[in-house]
Amino acid sequence: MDRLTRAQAWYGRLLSLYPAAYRRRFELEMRQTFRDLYLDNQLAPSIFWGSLAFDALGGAIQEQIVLSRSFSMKKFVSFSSSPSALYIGTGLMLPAALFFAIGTGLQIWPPPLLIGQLLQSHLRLMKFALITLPLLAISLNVAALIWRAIPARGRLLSLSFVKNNFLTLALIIVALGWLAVLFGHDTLGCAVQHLPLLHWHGFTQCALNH
Amino acid sequence: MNDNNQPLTPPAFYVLLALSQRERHGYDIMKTVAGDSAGKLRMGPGTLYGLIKRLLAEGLIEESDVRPDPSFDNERRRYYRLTSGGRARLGTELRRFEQAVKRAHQLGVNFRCRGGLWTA
Repeated sequence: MDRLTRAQAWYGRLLSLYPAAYRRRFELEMRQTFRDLYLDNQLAPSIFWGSLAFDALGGAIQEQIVLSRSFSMKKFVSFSSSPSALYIGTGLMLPAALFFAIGTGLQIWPPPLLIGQLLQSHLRLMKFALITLPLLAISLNVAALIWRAIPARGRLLSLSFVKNNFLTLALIIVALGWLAVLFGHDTLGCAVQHLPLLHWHGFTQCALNH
Repeated sequence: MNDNNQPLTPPAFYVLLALSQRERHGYDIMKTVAGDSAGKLRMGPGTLYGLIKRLLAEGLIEESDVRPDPSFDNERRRYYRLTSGGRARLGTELRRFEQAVKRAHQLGVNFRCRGGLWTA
């Protein structure tokens, strides 16, 4: 692949941030203009790409804002695109939240709970509710997101994709935040150190030591 | 929409000025704007096409079927030209500048170019 083709591919990725309707109208022209600009460029690559990225990102944000103004709130939070995973995910999160809230309210356990205490605990129901259900909710919603991302490959980085999957993404973030609070920040270090290498045993030992 | 009382933004003014001479495609507009503004205004494709979209919506410019330079042509290029409304708007803007300069002279403000900078 030569430099021009590579540069055009990179610029194409930047253009994918624009709304679909805008791309349909202007993408070919913008690609052609980029090609002219690239071939005529006399700036250092870092300055050229820096200014180009700034220009493209600024334009994309502006167009996304223009587009979002035309959306109603009903369209913005789109239930129709992801109902089942979302409802099941929320359903899984609710008992966990309830269990945690009641437990904290009755001072059964002090928040934030460390994973070490939890893994050593004999309360199976507590383990199940606090860890397994949120993990299931995350897995289910990530799977649903990937399923919907396959036909939307070109639009993955676009705000419209985020908007259409707003609640699913929100639920994943909430569940991840939940686990982070639950396990405490020390355990997050263990997760970063061991889980990417799939060292589950190392992770458990590290978490127990904390 | 097209409000003649509102001053044009500098990029919009220079784009209309570039198209007042002849039909131009995107890159040609970018180069002309940079030249006309003595390099002060350099637009990237993102800024330019956002502006073109707005000027099209306001009816100040339109797409042109005329392709002035067939030897340098490419079907992906689109050419744009001023509409009569765009020409009128550009005229209004130029008159605004003219009146502002005239008023400054009436007030005794003299502008001189020193080292490439205009100072009063």
